Amino acid sequence: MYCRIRSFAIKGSTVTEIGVEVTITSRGIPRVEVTGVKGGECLKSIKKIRTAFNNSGLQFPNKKININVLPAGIISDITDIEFPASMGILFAHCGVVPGTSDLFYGSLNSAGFLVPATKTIFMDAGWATGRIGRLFISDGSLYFNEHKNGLNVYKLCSLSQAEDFLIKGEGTLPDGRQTLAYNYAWAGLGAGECFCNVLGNSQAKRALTISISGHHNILMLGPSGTGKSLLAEKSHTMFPEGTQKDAVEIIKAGILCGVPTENIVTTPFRRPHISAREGDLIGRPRMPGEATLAHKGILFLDEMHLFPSKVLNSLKTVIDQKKVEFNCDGVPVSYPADFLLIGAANNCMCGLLGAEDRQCKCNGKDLNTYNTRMNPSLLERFDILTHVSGSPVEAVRERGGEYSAECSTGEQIKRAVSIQRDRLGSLGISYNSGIPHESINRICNLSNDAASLLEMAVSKYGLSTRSVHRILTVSRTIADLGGASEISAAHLAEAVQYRVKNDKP
Amino acid sequence: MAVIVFYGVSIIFVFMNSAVLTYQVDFPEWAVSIKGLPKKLYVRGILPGGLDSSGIGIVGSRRISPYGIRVLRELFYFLKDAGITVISGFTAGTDSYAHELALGAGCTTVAVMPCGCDIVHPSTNKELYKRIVGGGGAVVSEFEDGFMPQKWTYPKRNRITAALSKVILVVEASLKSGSMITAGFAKKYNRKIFSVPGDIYTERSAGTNKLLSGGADIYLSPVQILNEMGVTTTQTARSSAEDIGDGGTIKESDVLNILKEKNLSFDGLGSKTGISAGSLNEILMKMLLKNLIFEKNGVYYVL
Repeated sequence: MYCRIRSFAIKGSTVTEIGVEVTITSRGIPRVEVTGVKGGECLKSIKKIRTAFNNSGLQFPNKKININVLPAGIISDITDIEFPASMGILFAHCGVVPGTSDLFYGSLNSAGFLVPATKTIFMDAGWATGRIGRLFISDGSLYFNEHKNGLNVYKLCSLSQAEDFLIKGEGTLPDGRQTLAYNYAWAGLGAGECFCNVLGNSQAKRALTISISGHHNILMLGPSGTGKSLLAEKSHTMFPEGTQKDAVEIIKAGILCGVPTENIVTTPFRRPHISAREGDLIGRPRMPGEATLAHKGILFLDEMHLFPSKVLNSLKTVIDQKKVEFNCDGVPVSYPADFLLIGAANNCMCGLLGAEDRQCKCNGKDLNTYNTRMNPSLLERFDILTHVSGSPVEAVRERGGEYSAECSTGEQIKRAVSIQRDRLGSLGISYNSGIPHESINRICNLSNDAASLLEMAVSKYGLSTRSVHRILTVSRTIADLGGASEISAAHLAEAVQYRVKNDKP
Repeated sequence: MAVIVFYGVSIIFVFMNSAVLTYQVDFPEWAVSIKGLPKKLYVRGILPGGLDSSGIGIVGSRRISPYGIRVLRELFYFLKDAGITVISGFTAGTDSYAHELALGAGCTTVAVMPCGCDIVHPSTNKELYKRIVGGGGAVVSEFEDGFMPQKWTYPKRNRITAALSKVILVVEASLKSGSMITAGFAKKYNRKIFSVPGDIYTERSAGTNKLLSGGADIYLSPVQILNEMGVTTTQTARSSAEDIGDGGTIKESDVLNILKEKNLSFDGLGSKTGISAGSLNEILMKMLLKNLIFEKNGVYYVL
C-alpha cells in the first residue's frame, strides 16, 4: 500500500516543500528503511516512532515499510518530519487516502505526543500567500499569521488525536491561527537608567545619543578605564523600543540560533569575547553566530583592536548587507544580521596613547598590528567616531553619578525615532542610517550654508562618496534630534566632526 | 618579429607610465669637498639644484608628539611658497610629517633613503613616495636599486641628509637616536643646527636640549629659519583675529584663547567654556576646517 504526504523542510529561514512517500508491503522481512535522506541517520527516529505508536495504543504494522523523501538529499535526518512519516504509515496501513491539500509538520516524543515546533514561525505570511488547504502542526507551535488566507491551521496534541480526526473522522478541531501582538510584549526600559549616570564624557554621550537615535554604527576610542564599556551598557537601556515587526524579527533570529523563546521580547545586546572566531561572530552554514543573535539590537565589540584582523574584516560585508548568506548542502540560507555596531578600542596596542600624563609604549610592530586591524576601510563603516577621555576627579567627588530627573535625552531619542518612522515608513526602513542612495538628496535637504560647508570638508579631508553619504545621514539624525526639518550648517558640522579623526597635515 | 616589436613598445610604455627610473648623478658640487661621502647618488625624480642656499633638513623622533606637530605646522605656515627644499629621511613620524607638510605648503622635498631608491621603506608611505616624486622632488640614496635597509645603512643615510642640507632643524630627539647622529654629522660638516628646546624631564626632548647645551642654535620662531634661508617675510606671528576672519564668532575666539593656554580634550573644553556638546562640535569643526586647530587622539591643539 502506498501513500504520499506533503511536508516541509525548514533550513535557516527557507521553507521548502517536500513529499514523504510511505510504501508498506507484506512481502519481505519486516523492517523500516528510509531513502532519499542524506547521511541516513534515521534509526533513532524510527525507534521513536515505533515507541510512540505503542504508547498511543496504535499498532505498528509488522511489515516491510519504506519511507522515501522527495526531492532526495534535501534533509539529512527525519527528526522534523516524524509526525508526517507516522501519519503516512497510519494512512497506508489503514488504506485511507490523505487529502491532497493537507500539510503536516512536526516531531514526536516517545509518549506519542507532538513536540511544539519553533521553526514553523518561518511559515509566515509571505510563504502562505496563495496556499489553500489544511496545515497540521503540534499544539504550542509558533505559527503567527495576521493575514487571513486560504490556509487553515490545526494544532494537534498527539498521534492518537490525529488518528481519531483524520482516519476515523471523529471530533472537531479549532483553527489554531493567532497573531503575534496577542502573545508577545516588549520588556520595559530600566527606569532611572540614562547616560547621566556616567560622569563626564559629554562628547561620547552626545555621540551615543545620535548613534542610537538613527542606528549609526559608532566607535569609541580612548585609553582604558575611561568608561567606554559602561557607556555601551547604558545605551542598551536607552535603546528605542522597536515595532511589532521588529519583535517578530528578534524572535525569528532567536529561533535560528536555537535560543528558547520567551513571551517578553528584549532588545538584544551581544558582547562577544575577543577569543571569538570568524564562525562564532558571523556564523556558520548550519549555525548562525553573534551577528544574528544581535539582530535588531546591539552588537558591542569591546577591546575591538584585540580581535584578530580576519574576524574584523569578515564583519565588513555583514555591516553593509545586514545579513549573512551561506550555502548549506545546496540550499541557500540567509541569516539576518541588522545590528547597531558599537565598538570600543584603545588608541594603540598598549592602551596608553591619549591618556593624560602617560606615554605610549608601543613599538613599531605594535603600531603596524594596530593599523592593520583598525584599517581605514573598517573605520569607514563607522558613521560616528568619538573619543572618550574619562571624567576629572573633581566631577567624581562632586556628584557620584546620580540620575537627574530633568534629563531629556530619552525623550529626545523617542521623538527622533518617531520622526524617522513617519518619514521612512514608505521606504520600508525605520532609521536614517538605512536611507538609500537614490533618496538621499530628497530626504537630506541641506541649507545653502551647509552645502558650502560640506564642499569645504570634502576638499580638505578628501572624503569618499560613501563618507559623504554617511555624513548626510548622520546630519539628518542630528537635525531630527533638534526637531529641525532642514539640515543647517551646525548639524552638518557636527556630523563631519564625528567622521574625521586624527587628520593628516 | 612583430611580437618582439610589440613587447619592446609595451616595455617602453610601462616605463613611460611609471615615469620614474633610477639614474645616477654626481654628488652636489658644494658638498664634494667633504670627506667620506659617495661620489655619486642614485636619484628618482628630479634632485633640485641650489640646495646650498635653500635646503633645510628636518629630523626628529619617529613617535612625533603634538608639540612637534605644532612646531612643524607653524614653521610650514611661514614657509608656504617660499621656494625652500625640505630634506628628510622618509621614515614614519617626524620625517613623514615634514614631507607631507612640505608638499602641502608647495615646497619641493627630497627623501633620503636608507635603501635602494626603488624600495618604499616603510611600505605604509607608498602614497607619499608617489607624491614626492610626482611633486617635483626626489628620492635619493647612495645604494643601488634593490638594496634592502639594514641597521648600518641608517647612519649612512643620516650623513647624506646632513651633507645635503644648509640648515638642520632637530624637532625632537632622545639621547640615543638617529636625529642625534644626523646632528653630529651636521656639526662635523659645519652646517647650522637649530634645536627645538623642550621639557627637561621628557625623554624625547633630552637630545635636543643636549644639542643646545653643546652649542646648537636655539629654535624659538620660524622667523629664524626664514632669515637664515634668506627668505623675506612681512609676517612675524600668526594673528588669530585675522585667521578667524569675518565669519568667525566670539565663541570661536574664546575656544582659541583657551586652547592657546592649554591643550584640552573635548570634555575639558566643554567644562571650561560651558558650551553644549552639540554646538561645541560645530565650533571645533569650523575651526578645524579653517586650519586654526588640529586634533590628535581626542585632544585639540592650537596651530
